[in-house]
Amino acid sequence: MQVFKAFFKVLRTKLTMAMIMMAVFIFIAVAYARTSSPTQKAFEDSRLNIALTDNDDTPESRSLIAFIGQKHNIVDPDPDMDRNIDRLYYGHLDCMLTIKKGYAEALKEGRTDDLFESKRMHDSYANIYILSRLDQYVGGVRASMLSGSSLDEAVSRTEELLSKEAKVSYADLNTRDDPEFSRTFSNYFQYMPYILIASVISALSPVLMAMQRREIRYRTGCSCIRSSSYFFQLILGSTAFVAVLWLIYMVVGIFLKGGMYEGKAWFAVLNSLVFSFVCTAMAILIATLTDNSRVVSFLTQILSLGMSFFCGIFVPLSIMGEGIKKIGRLLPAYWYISINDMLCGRETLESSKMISCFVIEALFGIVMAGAALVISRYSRDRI
Amino acid sequence: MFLHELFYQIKCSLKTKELYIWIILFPAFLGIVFKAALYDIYNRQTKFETVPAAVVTVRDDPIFSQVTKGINESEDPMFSFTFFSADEEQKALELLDSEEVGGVIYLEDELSMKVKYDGMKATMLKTFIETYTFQETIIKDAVMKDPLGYQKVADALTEDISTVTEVPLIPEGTNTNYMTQYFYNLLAMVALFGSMTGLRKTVESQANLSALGARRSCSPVKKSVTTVAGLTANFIVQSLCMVFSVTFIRFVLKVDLGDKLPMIYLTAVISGLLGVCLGFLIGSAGTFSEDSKEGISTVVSLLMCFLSGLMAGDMRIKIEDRIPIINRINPSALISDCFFSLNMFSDYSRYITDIVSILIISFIFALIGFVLTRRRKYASL
Repeated sequence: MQVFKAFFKVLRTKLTMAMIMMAVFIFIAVAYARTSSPTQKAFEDSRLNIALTDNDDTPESRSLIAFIGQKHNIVDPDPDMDRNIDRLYYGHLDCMLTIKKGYAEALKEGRTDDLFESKRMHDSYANIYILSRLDQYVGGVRASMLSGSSLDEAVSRTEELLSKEAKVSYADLNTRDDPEFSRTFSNYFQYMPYILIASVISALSPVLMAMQRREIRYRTGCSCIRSSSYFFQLILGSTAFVAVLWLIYMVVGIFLKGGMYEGKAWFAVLNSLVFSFVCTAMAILIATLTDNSRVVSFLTQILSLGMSFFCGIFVPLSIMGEGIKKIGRLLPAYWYISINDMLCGRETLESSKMISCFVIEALFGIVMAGAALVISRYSRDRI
Repeated sequence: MFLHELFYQIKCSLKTKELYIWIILFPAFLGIVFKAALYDIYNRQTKFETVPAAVVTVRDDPIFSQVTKGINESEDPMFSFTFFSADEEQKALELLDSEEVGGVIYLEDELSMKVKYDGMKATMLKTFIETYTFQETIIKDAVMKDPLGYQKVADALTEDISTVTEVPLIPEGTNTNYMTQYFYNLLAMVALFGSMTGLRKTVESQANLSALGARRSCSPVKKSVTTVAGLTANFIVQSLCMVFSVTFIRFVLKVDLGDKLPMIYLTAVISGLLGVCLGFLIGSAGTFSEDSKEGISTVVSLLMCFLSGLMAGDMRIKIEDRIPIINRINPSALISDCFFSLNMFSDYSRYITDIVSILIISFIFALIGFVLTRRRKYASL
């Protein structure tokens, strides 16, 4: 096992850099997973973030605020308008609403125009929704008053009736969020292809390139080691290194989950293992194609960021256009993300579909490993 | 002598392959990816469009049919309804599965709904059901109280009212597509990747790291002249790259970066200075090999870009809520915020704060770089 030992000797010289990268990528993945939305167990209305100012400050206006607060998050507007604009731009705030002075008086008189002031950024669903909700509320109070109720009675009756929840269920139980593999936790695995591609290629390819350098190949070529044994030991070394890297990521996942993987989460673990194999094959292929470390660095970024944006790692597949998905299907990360989406309930879980995704993902690895074998044999023959 | 050095340093920089790979080809590739994969998401996901729904009629309800028909026929309707009989339920569910409708409403004794996912469209449809039930109850109440006068109550409920006055928050015509922030961050990344060429120049001037540095250290030219000329050359070349990137994004990809284009070019050029100074700092620190320093530079740049939202769009605002100091010192966040504030605000106060911060950080990086490289003498190499 001389080649195997030599592999790790070379790896040791490149390990510091690999460790730095791994630490940075773990930081990115954990930060991404931690800052995602919390788990949701059943259908819930979308909670909007509304910055509300009450200039009327009457029992009626306070009652309206309490009513809105039942289903939405009410926050105080930031005194710094720039920060409000930032939040509106990024969708962390849906609108800024002001209850104008004279709101209660207008309700009493049955006036419905110009009761609120709204500041918003986008012509979004959220804005249309909140505006129509306010119209319904005021319309309801006015109608109740027209049928003979006092203002107080009309307000409480309207709020009571508007608070009644309609019965909503999921058409497919498989799209529900599952505590075994919640959407929040699935974000860690969603980010995994980016981390794996970047860390495996940037750490493994330089080692393989060093091992494949012309003079080393010449020396190995005239030694007593058979070329198949040389290649096998190199693959074994690469696999062992990637396995350790993958294990570290899995252990970080356990800490992030707060316990051992269970149920569906094991499929996510398997998915990441298959993808690690794909990355290993990718790294070996790159190392056989070039001996320039700068090209490797460039390809690492192109592959990791390119796949991340085309295959739904950074932006969910569900909101991407069909044309982009077609390109994504040509890349292994797309199939990884499809499995992840099925496991966390973003897509319908069908076992046959999941198995075919696993097979396609693994095929990418097999094809790349095969190509690497053919190219390395061809380049050896050239010597 | 300075101009002579500068001329040849620029010539050398222009012959550096990495320059074209990292600062021109790679960002152009990412820009194309962003444009193809992300830019349209805003129009599809955030901008309001009529919410389609399927209605499975288990029992006849002429009033519901009348209301939904009225909505279907109105101008710019909030919802559009397609009707199915109870036997055709499967067809309605297929539409839901293919996401052609946001929900399937069941017209039974009590209205109910099935959805595929939760979200704004499902919430709006749920609210429609609740509002219908609410209005039905109010009218029933009114009929009970005054059978003859209920019509005015029904009219009040169905009348179009507008309780909200909209106040413009930003100048008319401002680009509010939040996906544009990916392009701001892309420009920040190009600026920070300028550190790679910056550090190369520094390594090439260090006698213990490169053969070229050893030759230079025994030449009669003052080290300060070589270093300043190298940095200036890098800055000039980096500025050209930044101008290329802005032009590519604005005129080839046709991304709306706002109407203050000269300021955007100026900001891009100043951002390039920050990248060059960062490279000078990394290149001057320690005795790692050039490859290691390049690796560190890439990782540091990408980490900064991650924190400003290159990979997760709203990361900058999440950090602003939790640890705002990071946004004040993260070069990538400052650069992308410059472009953001140029697009979003008519006054320049926030922009000036950002640009001054960029200049201060650049100065600090350059100063540390100079301190680390000065007076280095080698007894032997």
